[in-house]
Amino acid sequence: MKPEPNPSAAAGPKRTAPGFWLKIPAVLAIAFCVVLGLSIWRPDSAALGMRYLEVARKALDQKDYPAAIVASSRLLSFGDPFRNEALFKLALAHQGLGQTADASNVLAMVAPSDKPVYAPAHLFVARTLIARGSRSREVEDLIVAQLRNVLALEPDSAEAKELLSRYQR
Amino acid sequence: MPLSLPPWSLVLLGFGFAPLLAAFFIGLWKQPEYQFFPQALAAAAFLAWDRLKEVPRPMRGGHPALTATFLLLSFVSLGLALLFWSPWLGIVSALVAAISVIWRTGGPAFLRKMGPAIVMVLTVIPPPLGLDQRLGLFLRGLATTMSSRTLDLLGVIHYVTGNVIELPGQKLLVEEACSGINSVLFVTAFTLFYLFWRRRSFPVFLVCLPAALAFVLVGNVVRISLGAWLRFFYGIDILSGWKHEMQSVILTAVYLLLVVSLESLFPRRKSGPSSAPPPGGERSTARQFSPLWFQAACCLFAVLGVLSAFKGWDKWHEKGDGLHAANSALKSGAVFTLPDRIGDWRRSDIGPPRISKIETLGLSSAIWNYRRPGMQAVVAFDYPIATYHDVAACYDGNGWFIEKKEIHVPGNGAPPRFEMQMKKEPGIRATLWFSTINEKGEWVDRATVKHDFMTRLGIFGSQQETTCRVQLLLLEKKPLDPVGYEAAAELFEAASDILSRQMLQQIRR
Repeated sequence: MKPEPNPSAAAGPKRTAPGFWLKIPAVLAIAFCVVLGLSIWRPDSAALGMRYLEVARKALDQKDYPAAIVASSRLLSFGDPFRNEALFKLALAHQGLGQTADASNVLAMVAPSDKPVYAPAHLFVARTLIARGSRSREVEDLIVAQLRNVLALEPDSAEAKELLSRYQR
Repeated sequence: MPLSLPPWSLVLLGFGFAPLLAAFFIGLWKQPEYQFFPQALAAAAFLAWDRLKEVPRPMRGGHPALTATFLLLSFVSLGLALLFWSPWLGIVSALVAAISVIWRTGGPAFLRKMGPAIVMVLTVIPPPLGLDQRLGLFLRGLATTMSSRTLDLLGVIHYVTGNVIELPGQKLLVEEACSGINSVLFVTAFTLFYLFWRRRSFPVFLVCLPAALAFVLVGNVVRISLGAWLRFFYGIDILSGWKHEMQSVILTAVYLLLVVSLESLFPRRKSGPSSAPPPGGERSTARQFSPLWFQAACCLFAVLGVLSAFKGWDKWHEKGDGLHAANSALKSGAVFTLPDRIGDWRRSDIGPPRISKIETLGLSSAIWNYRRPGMQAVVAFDYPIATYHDVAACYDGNGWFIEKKEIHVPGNGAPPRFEMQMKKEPGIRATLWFSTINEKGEWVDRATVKHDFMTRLGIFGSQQETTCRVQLLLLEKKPLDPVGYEAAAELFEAASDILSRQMLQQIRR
């Protein structure tokens, strides 16, 4: 004998169609793509630059030179307003790691002896040369040139004036 | 199902293409991004079988003039493929011949039904001009840029140079810098197959194919960003070794799931697949012309097949040929040396600054530093490289901006070389010279320029040969003067000569 169909079982708890669950991953993925796209669309370069500048400063203060190299290199990508400071910090970070060839290559860009570019870098080079102790005539000329570059950029620099007065003949 | 063509004629036709097809698929297997081709061909066969049931019976053959045109086109291209030993042209001519047979057997109705299978086969044929690689590289660059922005959101201190992401004390994605995203082609092929199988309309293809690429792109962004975040904050490395491989498998599975899920968002058409073929016999009615000439043509194809087999046999045994290019003829443990002095250049233990290193690619690389007053140079020898590889892509992927690239052919019998002027932050300028030699001792860079368009088309000639490369990277504080240029040329030519002779001496005889 055929069993009677159970009407309550037929009407039983509502089941979600399998197709519904299949749609969810694509919907979530599309939503994620949209949110990600909106979040990373047109980042605020100025704010990011300031942030990386702060990170580079802190890293140098804490002698975390690998982090300073990365932060300064990134700072370079934000262009002009940060360029000289980024190069100087990059040079300091390379110097801190003992990568003197890298450091002097980068310093040559921000502190050339023949033109004023970035005062702190010129002053740093002058100080470094002075700290060497024994000096030749060429080195003294170089120190003077660097200090003049500092004063060309920052005429009120007391330290540059004081050092220059010692070396100027 | 009888096709109104004697099976032996189809066997002869197939034999005509077999040697070149074998060479094509052996070459394809060496390209990781195309290693899905067995699945793609199986998918094509499945689609063909699936649609074959729906072709109206009796089949009516297409116009014989078109059959003859397709067949002639296939024959000519097969002849050219044989002449220039071009497996790529071989598979294209095979596809044209297949279209000819389909047309001959069932006309436009049959060809329409076989369309999806033909498209699936097309997914395993690398497009000319390296478009597939360009797309992969473009997506890799886009993924790196998007990852950088995501890392900014996540607070990860980083720096992007080319396609390489630098974290404090570590570089990520160095090995992938000059290669594209491998899963792009596989996911595209799967999407095509799935949509064909589900009999989706053209607009659904238009939405799903770009969406599949977007999923791959975003998947890579998530992988890179997550990997960098874990590395930066917790020191956990998931971007190399088996973890990287595992991620690739998981991500690919996710992409496929997302494609299936995306397809389910579109409403189904009410009408199902075409009804079963009407009864009344299955024989083709392609009787408008005598099958004799078709069979004669099949015999001609078979003759080309025999010639291809001989040529393929020759190629197989030719030293350094593409068919066994993956196994370099260089002896294992090969040693390369350069003297302490070359002209007024002296070997130096001090390398160039860390930020301007030479990019090497081969399984092994040897590097020498040289200096002369006011100049420093790095010489590198990369060996073996599975194919001809333009090293410009490596420098580009590692953050160098290439200002100029040109071939230079010295008149003194020295090898032709590419010269590139490059620059990179922070204000580094460099000149790179490189020459590529194959294992037969032929300098091959000139050929890539001489046959520029055809070579870039990738249709003629074998680009699968094993090569080795000599590079000279000159770091410049000021532009090269003529004396410096001559000195660099002398160093490069001497190094190329010494290293190529050492390479040939160490090749298995």
